[in-house]
Amino acid sequence: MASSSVNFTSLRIGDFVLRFRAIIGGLLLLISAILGYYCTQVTVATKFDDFFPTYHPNVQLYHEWQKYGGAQTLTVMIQVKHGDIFNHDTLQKIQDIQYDVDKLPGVDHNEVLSLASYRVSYAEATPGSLNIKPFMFPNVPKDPQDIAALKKIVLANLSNISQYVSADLKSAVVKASFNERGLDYKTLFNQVQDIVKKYQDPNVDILIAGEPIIRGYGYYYEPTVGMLFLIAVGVMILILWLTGGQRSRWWAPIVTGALSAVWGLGFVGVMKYDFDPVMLVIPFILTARDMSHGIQWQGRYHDELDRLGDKYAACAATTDFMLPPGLLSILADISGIVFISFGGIPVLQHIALAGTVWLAGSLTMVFIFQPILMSYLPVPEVKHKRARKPGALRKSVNDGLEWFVHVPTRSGALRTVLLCGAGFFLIYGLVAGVKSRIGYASSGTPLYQPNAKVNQDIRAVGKKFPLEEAWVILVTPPYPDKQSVLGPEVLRMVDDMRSYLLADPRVAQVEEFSSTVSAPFNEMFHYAYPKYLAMPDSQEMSGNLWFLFINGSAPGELERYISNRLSDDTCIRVLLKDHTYDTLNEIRERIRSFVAARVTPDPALSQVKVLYVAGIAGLYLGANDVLKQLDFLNITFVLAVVWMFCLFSFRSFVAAFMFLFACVLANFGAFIYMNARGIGLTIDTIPVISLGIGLGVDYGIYMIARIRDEVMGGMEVDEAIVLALKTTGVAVFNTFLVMIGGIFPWIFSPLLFHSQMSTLLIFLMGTNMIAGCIILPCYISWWRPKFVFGGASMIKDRELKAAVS
Amino acid sequence: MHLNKFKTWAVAGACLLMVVAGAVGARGAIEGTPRTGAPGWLSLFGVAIQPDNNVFIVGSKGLLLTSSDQGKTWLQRTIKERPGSDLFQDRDLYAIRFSPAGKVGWIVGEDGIVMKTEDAGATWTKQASGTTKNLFNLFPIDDQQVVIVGADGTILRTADGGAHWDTEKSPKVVSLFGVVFLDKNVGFTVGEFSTILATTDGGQNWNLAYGGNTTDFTVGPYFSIAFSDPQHGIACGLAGDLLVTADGGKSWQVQKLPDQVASYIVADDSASKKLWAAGAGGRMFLSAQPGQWQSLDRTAFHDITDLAFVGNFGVAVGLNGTILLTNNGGEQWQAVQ
Repeated sequence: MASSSVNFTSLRIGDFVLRFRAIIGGLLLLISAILGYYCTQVTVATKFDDFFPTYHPNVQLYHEWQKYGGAQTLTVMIQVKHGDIFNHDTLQKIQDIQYDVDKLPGVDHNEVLSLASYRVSYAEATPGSLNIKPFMFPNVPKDPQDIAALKKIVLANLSNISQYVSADLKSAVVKASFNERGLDYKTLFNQVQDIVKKYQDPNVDILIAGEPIIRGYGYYYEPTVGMLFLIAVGVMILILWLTGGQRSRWWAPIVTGALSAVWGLGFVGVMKYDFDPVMLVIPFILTARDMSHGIQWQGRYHDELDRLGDKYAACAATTDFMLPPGLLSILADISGIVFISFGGIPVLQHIALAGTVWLAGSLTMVFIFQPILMSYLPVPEVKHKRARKPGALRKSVNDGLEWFVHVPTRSGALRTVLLCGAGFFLIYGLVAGVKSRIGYASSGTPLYQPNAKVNQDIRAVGKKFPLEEAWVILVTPPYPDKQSVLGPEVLRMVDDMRSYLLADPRVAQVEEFSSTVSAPFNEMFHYAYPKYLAMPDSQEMSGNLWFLFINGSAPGELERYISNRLSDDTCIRVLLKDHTYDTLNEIRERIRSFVAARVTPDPALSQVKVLYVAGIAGLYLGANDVLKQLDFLNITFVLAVVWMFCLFSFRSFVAAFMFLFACVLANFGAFIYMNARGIGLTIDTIPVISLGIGLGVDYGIYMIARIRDEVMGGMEVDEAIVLALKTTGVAVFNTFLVMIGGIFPWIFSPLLFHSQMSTLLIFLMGTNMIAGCIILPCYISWWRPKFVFGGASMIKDRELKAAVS
Repeated sequence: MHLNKFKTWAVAGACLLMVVAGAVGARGAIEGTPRTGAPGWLSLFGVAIQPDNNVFIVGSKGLLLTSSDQGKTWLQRTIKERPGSDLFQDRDLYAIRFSPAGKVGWIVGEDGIVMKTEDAGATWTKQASGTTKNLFNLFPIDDQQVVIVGADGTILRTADGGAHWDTEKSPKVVSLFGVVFLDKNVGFTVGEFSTILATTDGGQNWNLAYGGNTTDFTVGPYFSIAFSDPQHGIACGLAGDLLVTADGGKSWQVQKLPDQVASYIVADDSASKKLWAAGAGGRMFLSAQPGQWQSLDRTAFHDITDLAFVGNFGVAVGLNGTILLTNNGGEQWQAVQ
């Protein structure tokens, strides 16, 4: 009868496993118990650093110059509905929120800034003196005259404090930076929400933006996501029962799938990786995949049981038949996730490694443990249903299915259309793949729905205040060298850079020592005469202005621009309106152009090193750079692995290329979907997309392996295709239904990321099932490749098996 | 027959060439990037209006803005005062003035920059000023005679349209911010330490007319000076300080603006005989009667640096790209967004 596709079936693995079932089963359960313990050690947390590629120059630059502040910035916007902020109540709220934000966990106390901060000040010239005063510290004005005076001062200095007070005077912000390591997003989120509740009133809206709050919302939605998880598990079990419930051991794949998950989650615990609640969809897919292998195994076991009539023989035979394609499928699954670790992004490395163990767990738990389990359990009974005469509808359905399973073997227009349509889809998918976007396509966060509170807030704040910072760091000789950061030519160059960057509408503001401190102080030092609003004309004057500034400003204020008293480095903060891929790339390109044209050729700046891009924008850019390469590398490696394993397994270049094209055909459709929905490749989306590519190819492998087995067993090709569709095809469809059933509830997740990724996975599973169950059989029936119908090696195999039997 | 056809084509071709050349030439008259206003990150320091109401504004980074429709639309140009790529930003330009005829004009600025136009502002050429001091202001007496003042007592004078610039001696080494001439010979300049210098020979020799005590650091500067007629003049300075003369500059009296804020420019509106002062925080003051000043409602909140009037049309410019326009002699000012 049927034999398996590769040589090592002659090892009789099934017999071996059953012979030592107690030892092997006990060992696997022991390992599961140990890993089960480590499952309890997994911590639910988010590490911001882990989201960016460790070895990217931008990330290293960011860490090296973290003394200029963290990328984790919270923005609290106080917005009035009527009038402006210049009334006592609103001004008092600004000060109170400033104090409350200063008490948040993990806040950098030197980086809490607002109109009420002692560090936000203005200079005033009078004959013979220069005064530096905070706008609203320590007291908030109460009298209408004092409030009107404050308003005039703010208006006169609005361009200097546009990051704290909006141009329409209806909004003000409190900005805070956080220390990244050990930041408790959940507690921070809850405390920020308390601030919102405390200060919001009918005339005042409190809106929140920033990376800590984006991550914090993941914890806010945790109960809903948990509920969706349970619903998804319930739906999967229900579908499993509906499709396999006629047998009494239908639940076996749940046990082995769950044990595979224990291996995966236990590995997460052993490695001390953090479990990000936003990423919950990934382990869920992995578990569903483990379970689907179990379903495939169980389906074949039932077939073999019916054929052989003996549970041990059926277990052994199923193990022998299913292990090779199962191994191939699991390797394809693993290849879909393991290569995302190449980018050096810690969170992707963790997902890749844990995912590999998670998927590999099914190799032992499904293909080794499941036969052991079934060998101990009584023979699955068929629950005989009352014989009913098929109705008209059922008869129509049966007729339809009968017609369907013959579609691949029936030459004619339909098969031609299917094959040509597949060709067009493949080309369209390739084009969409080339056009796929990297990074964020719009402002706000794609993790949550566009109408989610967090995105509404980010958009509202972003309209008035810049939210993203790209840093350019200058490293120079120390003062009094002419090329120190206080050198007039260096100051002038920085001012030129500011002017050049501000000409780009994507740039909201540029903050640096030259235009923020040197020029205004030069002006103030010269009677506030506006024509002195320029760089000091000598080294000495520049040094004097620097001295004037540090003596007249709050402690730590200088360090925002120049990190030390040697004056040998400075930070230029380019405030951006959004962090979209286009914005970030364009800004980096502008900086590069400026440096090439203005800095490099100027001998007066020969010792000035310009380092870019640091800050949160640099981190995003670093991730985008890596993802761009990683996307290409990942797809190349996944396809190469599929090609190689298929070549090895089927010993045929034709088979290898056939699976390669099927893989491209089915999975590049993902890019069609992503382009249509405006989804870019980000750190969050790439694991799901990559996983989808590996997962779907299994269907084709199982199908073709079955067809080939039957042909090698002596069956006619078209009969083999029909039989494969009626047996393996049904199992594949059941697997597909279980996977879809598990993924479908995630469409209703409050997280846009879950919703989009679940839709994408359903799309991917669908295209893969169509490719595996229809397109590939169509091709085989039409082209009749040798690897199925008997090349020299196959004929030799067949003869060998006949001799053995 | 063929020859005639050739001639017809030749004539048509020549006409086409002329049209194209004319179009290119006309476009080449004033080129720039169209804008509806000034970039908010640049400072505007000087404004001049030609008799035909063409407006010229200069500012930081070599900025030159022009408008030929009374400020409705603007062309942004960068006056390149030295070679370099487009990314190589230029020095600040502090003042622009045209001679009374309006064809010939000069721009002065940072590091001794002097640039001249002889075609009503279409093209500008750099002149050798002989100094690297910042030049803050100028006064063209006519197409040939111009006086420029600047940092550290710098006084430059030309009598040949700028072919040669002579450095004149200042009796006080103080920065000079404003200069005015009543006729070809009589002129005044103002600067640090309440200094007023006067000349009666077209700027060759200057005498101290007021202030100039360089040891008293509590004394503020005067930034600008204007005369409404040969007898009545006014200088403005820090903290609302005014200095007025009613005898052609022989004697000066201290006055104060209604608010104690700095004024950086004082200008006369020759059509309505009104005086205007403007300065810190966008404050503007109007004097319709000698010695009586009234504070106007603010249209802008950034410092105003220069004012110019031709008839009822007036333009004020300031920091952060501030441009204010009036078409009714200053009754209402409108900010260009």
